[in-house]
Amino acid sequence: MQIKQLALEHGSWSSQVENQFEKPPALVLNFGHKDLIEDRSTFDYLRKEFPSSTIISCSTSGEIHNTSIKDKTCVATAIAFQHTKTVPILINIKDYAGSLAAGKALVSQFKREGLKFILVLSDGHLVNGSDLVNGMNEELDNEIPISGGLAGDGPDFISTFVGMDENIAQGNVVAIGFYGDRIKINHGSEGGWRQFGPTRTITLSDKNVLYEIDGENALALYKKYLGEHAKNLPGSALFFPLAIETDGREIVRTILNIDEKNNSMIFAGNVPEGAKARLMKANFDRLVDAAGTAAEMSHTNVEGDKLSILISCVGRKLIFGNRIEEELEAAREVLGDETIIAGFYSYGEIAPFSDFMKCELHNQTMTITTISEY
Amino acid sequence: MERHKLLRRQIKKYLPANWEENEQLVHFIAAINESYTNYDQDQALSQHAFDIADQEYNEITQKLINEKELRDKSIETLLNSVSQLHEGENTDWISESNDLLNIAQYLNVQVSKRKEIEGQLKRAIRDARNASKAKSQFLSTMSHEIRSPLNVIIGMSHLLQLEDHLPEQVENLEILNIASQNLMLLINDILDYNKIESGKLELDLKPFSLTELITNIKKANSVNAQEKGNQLKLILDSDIPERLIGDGGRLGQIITNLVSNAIKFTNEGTIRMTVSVKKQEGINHLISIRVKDSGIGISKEKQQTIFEQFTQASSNITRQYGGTGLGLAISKRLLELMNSSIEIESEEGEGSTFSFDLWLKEGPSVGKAKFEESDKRDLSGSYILVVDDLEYNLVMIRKILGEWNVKMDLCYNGEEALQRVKEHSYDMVLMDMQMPVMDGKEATREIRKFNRKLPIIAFTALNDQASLDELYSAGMNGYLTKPFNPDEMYNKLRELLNRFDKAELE
Repeated sequence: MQIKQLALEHGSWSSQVENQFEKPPALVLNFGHKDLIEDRSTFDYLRKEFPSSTIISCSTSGEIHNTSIKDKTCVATAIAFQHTKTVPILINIKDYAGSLAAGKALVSQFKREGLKFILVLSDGHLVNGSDLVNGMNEELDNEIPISGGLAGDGPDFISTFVGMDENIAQGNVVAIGFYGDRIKINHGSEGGWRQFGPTRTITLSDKNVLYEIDGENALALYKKYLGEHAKNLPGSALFFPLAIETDGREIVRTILNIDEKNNSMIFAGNVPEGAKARLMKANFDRLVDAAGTAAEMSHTNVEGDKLSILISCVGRKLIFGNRIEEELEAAREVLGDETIIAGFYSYGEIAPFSDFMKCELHNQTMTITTISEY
Repeated sequence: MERHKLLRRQIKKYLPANWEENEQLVHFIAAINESYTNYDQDQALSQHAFDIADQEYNEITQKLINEKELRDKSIETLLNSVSQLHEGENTDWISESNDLLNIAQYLNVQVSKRKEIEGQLKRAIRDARNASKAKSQFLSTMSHEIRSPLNVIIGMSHLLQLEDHLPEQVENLEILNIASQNLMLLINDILDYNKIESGKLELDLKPFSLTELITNIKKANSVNAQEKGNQLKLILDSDIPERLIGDGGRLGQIITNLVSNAIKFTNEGTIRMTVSVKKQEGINHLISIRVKDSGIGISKEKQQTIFEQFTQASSNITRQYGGTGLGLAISKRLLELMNSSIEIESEEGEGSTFSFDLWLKEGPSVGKAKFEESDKRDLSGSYILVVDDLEYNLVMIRKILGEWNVKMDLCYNGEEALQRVKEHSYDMVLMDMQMPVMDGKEATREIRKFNRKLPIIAFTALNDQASLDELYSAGMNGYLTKPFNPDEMYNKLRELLNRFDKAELE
C-alpha cells in the first residue's frame, strides 16, 4: 500500500507526502472547500496527476492537513493498494424516493463476495444521514462495516458537493467497496461528552425536526439552559448536544438550526419519538481526550504505510475554536508519525459502534478509520 | 484582546518587565490567555446549565415527595377499607407490607372469592324463585281443581233451596250453602293473592258507578251487620260523579273486605262508611273512602303486620273470628296497583278506621241499566247449545237453565259443537274454553267460517286481559267467569240474549 498527498493552498498545489508509486493509485480522495471542489480546474489538475485513478471529491467544513486544520484548501490523498481491489459506485438522491431507498440502492450494486468494507461519502444537505445509513444496513444485513461521513459546507449549512470523477454535484452519494484478503480496517469513534440533567422523552418530532420533549417545547428548554447565550442560537446550542437512547444504543445529535417560526429545532440526524434524551455538555479536555481514545480504537500494529481517515464533527470545530488542532494532535500522538492522516470536518460521521455492531450516523464525534494492508 | 486578570497578575509576578520584546513569549502568552478566557466562558455556561438542571432536579424531587405523601395516604386509606371489609380476619400481613402490589393481589383473591359467592347466591335465588313459582303454580292449579266441583256444590245447593223441604232440611241446606260460599271466597282469595304476587293481575279499567257500588256493598253486608247487633251507616258525598273510570270490581272487593272485617270485629256497635270527593282537578277526582268501626281495635304493634299475608292480629282471632288472613294483604296490594295506599288509625278497645284516597277519572255519563230484575226468572223461547267436557258442569248448567225454561242441547267438545251448530239454529252457544279433541277457541274459529252471527259466549276461569283478548280475537262475543253465580249468570244471559237480538253482528 502506497500513499501520496497533495495540498492546494493559496491557489497552488504542493506535495505533503512524497511517494513514488510502484503501480498507479486506484483511488484519490480529495477533501476540500466547496468553492474549490466545485471549480473544474481542481479536478482537471488531479486528473492530469492521476490519469487512471478514480477521483472522489467531497466538500468539507474544514480540511485536515496532518495535525493542522485549514479552510479554503484542498487535500488530495492518492492510494495505491498492493492486494486490494476497490469498486466505486455513485448515485444521486434525486433519483430515489428518499434517503432510505437511496441507501439500499447504493449498496445493492456491490458484489457481496470478498467485500470487506465500504467507505461512504454523502451529500450532507439533501440527504438524511440516518435514513441513508439505515438503508445500507438493511440491505447488507448489518454484516459489512461502513464508515465515512457527510460532506460539509464550512459553517454555512447551505449546500454540499460530492463527486466521482467529473460528476461532482449536490445530492451525490459515493460508496467505495474494498475487496481482498489482505486489507485491515480499524474503527474508532468517540465524543467525549458528558450527560447531565434529568432524562427526558422525545414526545413530538418528525425525522430530524424536534418539537417537544416531555410534552414541552424543546426550543424553550434549550433557551432556558443557554441563559444569556440564547441570543447566539443556533451556534450556542452546539454546547448542548442531545444524547439519544433508542433501541438500547446511545447516539449524539447536534443542533444544526432552529426555526423560531415553528418553534422547532433541526438536528444533524433523526430524533425519533419515544426515544430517551438527555442534554450533554463537554469541557475541552474531555473532547481532546476523546480524539485520543478514538485513535487508540482505530490503531493497528500492521507494519508499513497506513492511512487514517479522520472525520470529525463540525460542531466540535465550532466549539474548539482556535484550539481545534489539539484534538488532531491528540490523535496523531496515538496513531504515530508513520500513519498518514487525511480527513475533514463533516455534517455527520458514519461508523460502526464497534467491530461487531452495525454502523450509525454519529454527531459530535471524532471518527477514525485506519486502512492498512498486510 | 484584553488579558485575563489572573494572567495579568501572573505575568507581573513571574515575568520580567521587558517580556513583550520576546516574540515567542508573546505568542505563548496569547495562547494561554485564550485558554483562560475559554475556560471562564465554558465555566460560566456550565454553571448556568448545572444550576438549571439543579432546579429541575429539585422540582422533580419535590414532585416525588408530594407523590409519595399521596401514595402513603392512599395506601393507608386503602388498608383501612380493606381491613373494614374483612373485620375479624387477620389482615396484619398487608399492613406490614405497605406495598400496593401486595394489596392488589390480596384484593384480586377477594374479588374472585366474592364472585364465587355471588354466583352461589344467584343460583340460590334462581332455585328459590323456581321453588316459589312451583309452589304458587301448585296452589293455583289445586284451587282451580277445587273450584270446579265446589261450583257444582254451590249450584246444586242453590237448586235444592228452590225446592220444598222439611224445616230442618232448610236449615241444613242454608248451612251447606253458606259453608260452600265461604270456601269459594277463600279459594278466590288464594287465587287472587297468587295472581298479584306473580304480577299477573291486571286492572280492568272501565266506567262504573261508585255510588251504586257502595250502595250494593252496604246492602250485601247489612244482614251480617244486623246479626251482630251492628249499625251499618253510609255517608255519600253528592259530588261523586255518576260514572268514574276504574276497576269497579276490584274496588268493590277492597271495600267489601274492609266492611266485612269491621263487622267481624265489632259487636253491638256502629260501622260507618264514608265516601267523599276530597279534591277535583278537571276530570280527575280524588275520592276518599273511610270505613270506621267501634270494635275491638288493633294495637300499634299489630298494625304493622296485619297487612302481611296470612297474618291476623292474633291467633286467638283466627279461632274466634275465622278468615284467611289474606283479605288485607290483597287489599293493600290491589291499592298499590291503583297507586294508592291504605291508612289505619286504631287503638285497642277504641275501634279502627281504615281509609284510602284514590285518583279516578270521570267517565262518560250513560243511562240507567237497560233492564230491571223481574221477580220471575224466565228465558223461555231461547235455544242454547252448552259445550263442556265436565259432566257435572253440564248437569248443573242444565238444571239452572232448565229453571229458566231454556231449551238446550249439551255436548262434550268443540268438534261435536261444530256439528251441532251446522245442524241446528241456536240463539246462543255457551262454550267452555279448555276441552279435549277441539278446544273452545278452535271451535269458535271454525264456526265463524260459516256463521258470523251466532253469539258465542265463553266459560272461562281466566279473566286476565291477555286471555280475554285471545277469546275475542277467536271470534267470541262475550264471557262468563267460572264459577258462576246463578244470579249473575241470569243477568248476563238476559243482557246478552237481548243485545244480540237487537244488534246486527258485523
